[in-house]
Amino acid sequence: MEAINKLSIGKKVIYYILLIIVAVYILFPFVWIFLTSIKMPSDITSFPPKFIFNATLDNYKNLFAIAQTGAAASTMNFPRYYLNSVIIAGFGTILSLIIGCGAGYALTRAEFKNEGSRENVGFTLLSFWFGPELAIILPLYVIYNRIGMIDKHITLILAYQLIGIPFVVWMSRSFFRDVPVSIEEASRIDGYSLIQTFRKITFPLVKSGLAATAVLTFIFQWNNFLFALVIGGRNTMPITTGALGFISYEAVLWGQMAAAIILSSVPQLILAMFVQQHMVRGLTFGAVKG
Amino acid sequence: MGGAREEKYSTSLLFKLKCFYHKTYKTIINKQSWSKKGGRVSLSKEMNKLSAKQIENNKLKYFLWPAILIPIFMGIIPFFTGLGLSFTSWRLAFRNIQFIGIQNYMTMFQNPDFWSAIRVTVIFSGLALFFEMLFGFLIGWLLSINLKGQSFFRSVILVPLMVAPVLSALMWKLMLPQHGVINYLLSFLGIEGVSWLANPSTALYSVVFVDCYIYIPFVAIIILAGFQSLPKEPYEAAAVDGAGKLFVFRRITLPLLTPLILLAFIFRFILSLKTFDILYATTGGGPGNVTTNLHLFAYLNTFKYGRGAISTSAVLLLFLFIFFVSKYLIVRWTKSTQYQ
Repeated sequence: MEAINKLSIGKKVIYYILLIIVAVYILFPFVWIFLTSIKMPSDITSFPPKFIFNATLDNYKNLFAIAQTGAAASTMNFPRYYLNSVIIAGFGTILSLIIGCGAGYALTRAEFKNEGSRENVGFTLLSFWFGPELAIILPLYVIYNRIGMIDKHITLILAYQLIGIPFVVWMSRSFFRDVPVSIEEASRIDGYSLIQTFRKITFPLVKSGLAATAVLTFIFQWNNFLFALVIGGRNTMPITTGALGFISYEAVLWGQMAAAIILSSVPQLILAMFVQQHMVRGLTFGAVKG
Repeated sequence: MGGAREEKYSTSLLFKLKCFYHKTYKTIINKQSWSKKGGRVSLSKEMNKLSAKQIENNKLKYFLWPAILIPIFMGIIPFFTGLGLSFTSWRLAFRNIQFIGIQNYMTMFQNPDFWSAIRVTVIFSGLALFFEMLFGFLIGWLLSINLKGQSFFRSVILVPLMVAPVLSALMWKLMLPQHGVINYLLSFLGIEGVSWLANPSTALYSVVFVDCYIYIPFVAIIILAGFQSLPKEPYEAAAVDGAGKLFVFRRITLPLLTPLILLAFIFRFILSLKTFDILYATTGGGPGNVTTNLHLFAYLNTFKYGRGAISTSAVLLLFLFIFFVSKYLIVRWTKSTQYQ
């Protein structure tokens, strides 16, 4: 609004102070976790907490060293968890995108006998996101346990489609809707086939939106916890459930846990920077065009 | 001269041709319903081609099938299996499953832990929702003010949303113990800290706080988007009429923001009812069961006590509640956007 010129210096200062308080509140945990991750174990538990200390990279080294030596004392295998996360979220995202975009496009453009079925398909998909996951994942656990599909990557990837597909369908639908039908009709009349129209006319228009959708799908699948907790196992444990393993009855490996948190959240923050302008839209399933 | 004229003629001919194509295309769309009834529309060659294209458009529906089939296998079949299981004696350790009718539901309603879980769900969601909406609105407004460097603050606010909630929860677990950094900082304010997550009287409020940390930004950026999309005209009109600030806020800003406030409310309301990972990572439902909400109650019942069937009953109740409430809220939301 035009208020920019009217703001007095005093008000501006107050606003900046408030904004800085918010920023500190948001960033402090990350700074603290980062500091914890480069502390020696004795410095971590000291009270009052130390802000100045001898930095060390031991925690990061230990995260990877355990896997190499295969120490019997520790069951943690951080690189494995990381790889699992990449595999599951990576392939999960690709599958969701392929299936979800097609469905999103069909929901926007195909003609339905009954207009209501368009919304019904959409809302049914959405309810997987909104409903409590255990209602689905518990019986899924029972079924998969019977047929021996527990603790396999493909199982988790398929289960993660319940997060991916609804999201991609709703997001891509909101982007496809922005493309005027008349453009597509014109290109069809000029002789392009359905596939050609999609490839040469529609796709370039929604490309950046779909890229953002892909990134957000990856982030959501990476962040998922409950699915992996119930139907994952030793072989497929992703980082979200793996990170809990640092807390055991014997000891809490705070330093390594902090290092693991830093390592597994930094890639997402970098990815998120690329899709900032689509963030609001992504978080509201395309309801708000931020 | 002649050439230019010819060109003009040819373009207009092309134009007419296109119009003709377009018309036939539209008529085919219009006549399709009629032709389905059994009648046959006589089509010229061009029309045949176009109708082929039209059929291709219907082929689009095939793209829907994978997106329907996978959720059917991974979601709908398990859901109804769960419904079936809730009427049986299923336990995690046993293989034989017997039909026992609604006995699970009766046992569940007599279980004090179940009622405690409902109480926790209501308190947790209520408190989290209240603080998230309040501070989310304030921060969203603060971020919408036109100031230098605002883009930095707008990026910072997104950080908690992108990190896995379970990892954020672990961060707070690391900072909230008796000798943690938070208590150290609080001691400067003269507040004697306790072991926030382990103390039965503070645990629930602490997890609400952690939930707020993660989801206040969610509300804030939706509200921010709302502020950014406000039209100028009503404000100019109000300024001309000399309307007071409070009046402008109540009569212009708030009504214009209502759809977005409602949207943020719906999302947070539904998602906070099924909070799981934050509670599981910070307190694991304890101490005792003071932070065990319904979702966590179902999980612990299955995997800690092996009572699978009762959990499916509990979680189905939650599902039904969320389903109907969200349907109602979404209808309300669609209405509120229509009035705009």
